[in-house]
Amino acid sequence: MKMKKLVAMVMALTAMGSVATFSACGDTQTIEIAGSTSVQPLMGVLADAYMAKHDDVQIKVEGGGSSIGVSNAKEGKGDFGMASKAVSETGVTAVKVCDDGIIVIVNKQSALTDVTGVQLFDLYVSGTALGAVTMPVTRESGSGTRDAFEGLVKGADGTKLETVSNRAPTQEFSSTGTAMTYVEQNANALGYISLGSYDQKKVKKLTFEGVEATAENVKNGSYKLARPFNILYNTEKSLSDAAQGFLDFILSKEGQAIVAEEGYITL
Amino acid sequence: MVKSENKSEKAAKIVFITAACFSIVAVFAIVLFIFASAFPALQEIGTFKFLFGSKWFPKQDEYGLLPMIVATLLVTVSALLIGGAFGIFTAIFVVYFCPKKLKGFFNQIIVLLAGIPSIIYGFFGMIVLSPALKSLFNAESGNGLLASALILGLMILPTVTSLTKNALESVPRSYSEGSLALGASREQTIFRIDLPAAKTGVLSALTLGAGRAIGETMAVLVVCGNSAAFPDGLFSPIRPLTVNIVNEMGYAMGLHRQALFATGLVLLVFIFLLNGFLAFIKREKKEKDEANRTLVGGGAGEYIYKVRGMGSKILSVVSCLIAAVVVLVLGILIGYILVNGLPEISLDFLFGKPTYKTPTLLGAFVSTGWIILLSLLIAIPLGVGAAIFLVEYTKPGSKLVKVIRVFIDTLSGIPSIVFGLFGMIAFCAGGKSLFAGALTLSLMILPTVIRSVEESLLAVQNSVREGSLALGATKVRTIFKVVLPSALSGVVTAIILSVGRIVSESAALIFTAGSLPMVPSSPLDSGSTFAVLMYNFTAENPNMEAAYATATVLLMLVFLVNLAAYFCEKKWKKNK
Repeated sequence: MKMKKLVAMVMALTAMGSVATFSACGDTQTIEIAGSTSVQPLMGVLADAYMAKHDDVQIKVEGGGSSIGVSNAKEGKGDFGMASKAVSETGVTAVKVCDDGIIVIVNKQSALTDVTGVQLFDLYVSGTALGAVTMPVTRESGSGTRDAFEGLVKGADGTKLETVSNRAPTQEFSSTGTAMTYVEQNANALGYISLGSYDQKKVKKLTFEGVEATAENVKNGSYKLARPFNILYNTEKSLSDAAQGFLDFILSKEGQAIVAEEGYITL
Repeated sequence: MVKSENKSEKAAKIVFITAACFSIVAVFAIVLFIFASAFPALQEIGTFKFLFGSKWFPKQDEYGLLPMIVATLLVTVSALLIGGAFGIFTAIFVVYFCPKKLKGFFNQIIVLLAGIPSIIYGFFGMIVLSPALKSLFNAESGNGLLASALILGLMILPTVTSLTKNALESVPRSYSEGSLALGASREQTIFRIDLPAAKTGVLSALTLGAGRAIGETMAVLVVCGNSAAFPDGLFSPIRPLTVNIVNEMGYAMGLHRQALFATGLVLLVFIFLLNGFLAFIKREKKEKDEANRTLVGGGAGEYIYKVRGMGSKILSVVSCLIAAVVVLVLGILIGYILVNGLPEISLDFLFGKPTYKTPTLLGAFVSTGWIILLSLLIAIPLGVGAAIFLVEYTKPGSKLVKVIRVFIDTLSGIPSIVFGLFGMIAFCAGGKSLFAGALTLSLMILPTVIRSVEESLLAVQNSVREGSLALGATKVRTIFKVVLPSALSGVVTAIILSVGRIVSESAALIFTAGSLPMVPSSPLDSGSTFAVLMYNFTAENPNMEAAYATATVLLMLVFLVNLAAYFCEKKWKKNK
């Protein structure tokens, strides 16, 4: 008796589930986007805005990392890939969405206000203290933010940080959030994050070689720690109507207004 | 008529055997898939260079795993020292010193500790433990070896405690009675007679604890410091094997990706070694027990006179103190999360329509529901079938049963991150989906299902079966109409335990079900459960308020699951 009830319940639940599945399948169009976790928050807000205007479009924005963005685009998986670095892969069309500054952050108690590339290089490579800052915070290998940061920071002799594999001990985190939380909690820590993720209630941003990280300074090139945010798709594959619509929206005035509002640098 | 019945009997037996052998297939499939994905890396890098190289720098194709292996071993040993000592003393307290009224309370505390999701342990470590350690010891950083060992120690404590408790409780009473009769004090009896007699149980408790510590991922991820260098102090950042995988898998391509699978393979080897050790001590114990049977009255009595009482007295005070510390830590953990999380919970946050900018838990409710439903639909029939075969169709001690049991144990010891890797290559060809996540999780909960159904089947008295058979019912009819209904408690327990496990899982789901914070429209969509969503709130879309609130909801779910389990147990016990 009890068994039968249980079986009946399970079957009813399954039936309900499948009804829900099929009824949801209407004529909505889905846009699948995956890639850089740095671009993800901005893309999410853009998707919110677009979906609010278009009931029939569903946009899925997933992370994975810049390399996933590139490889998805190359294989034609999903509609778009995202990358937080310059992309020059054959067969992949990259459309620049905006620019992003990478800011160097320290604890709010830190006396530090400015940092140079050489100082950063020495801190990350040999652990040379910067005042009270002794603990460099980095991101996981493969992170687009880390790639861009290590490609831009150079030592006194011009060696790029990314080519040096002997490093001082660091604290490594797999996301902007955990890295920022660590810097927030530790007075001796220094890290780097995307300008758009900056939260002045939690951490303090430094000027880089005397230049403040503002939209203007990134745009005119005087702030050197910058990188592009790209949206990628397979060159051979034609975009669906929905995907094309979303891409147009991002590049439109309205889309770019959102970009600016979120703290990124418009085209 | 008779003939067709025979046929269906045979068919049923085949179905049950298949279900029972599924665990074997699953273990082989996991090992094969991981090995196949790892092999190219081992070949290209060279197994020796991979295992004993000391530098991990994927950008320049340097893949040396030694710092991670050392880190895993170090952190496991330290976690065992902490969690093992605390666990054993807590068990001693619960068995011998705990007032009767508090006993139930302590048992629930241990169950609760075991049920708290690793993502919450990690969050607690990141927000509370690590800053506390840093200021307490004035260290460069609170993250590192010590923080990881403390968190892992706390996580393996329930395993060690409950198994040690079982071992102590099954020491024959005649041992302690003999000791007391010889004039030893109660404390001396506990520490000199009972504890040594329960040695094998304690050792297997520690071994299982070690397995859990080696395989844990999400809790260590945020407190280990994550630097692929050799640790040189309690506060130096470390990167265990599991963290190496979860940290870089998202980005990894080609050789790098294969090297991460090879990391998973090394992890598997460690787990298999531990399983082997476990089997070894169990067999030793069996032989000893048999030898002891002919040798009544061992030499234990000789020791007693040499023992001074003070040491044991002190130990008993220590065990009370430690039990108090465990309760305190659990109280702080739960209190901290509830105090910060409850004010953040609103109806809108729970059930509102999620957007990327202002996420809600609606998607997590739907995703978690789907994953629970689907994995139970797969694992329950398989598990019940397997249990029926093991109990109803085999003689105790048969070789086949032994083999099957080894594989079930092996399956239950595989770390969730390895299940995640397997699910990723086996089920995610069409992209991440709730369905792929459910398939992966159904493998993870299968051993639990088999075990609890098996236990309740064994509890059904043979006279019931014989009565049914004597009335002319066939074996299959007897199983389905008579045995299984009276073993319903096992199925219900299995469901409850499985739900608990699914709700708290995160590592395996990130790789298979994805982490989309939206409401999935079908099980073929990707989606995130509460635990995965909570991870996202601490990570890429930092939103601490939402993280606290999600943690609170997760804790409530764990409470609910424990409550359900508690009442079920009470009810079935009463019926008997």
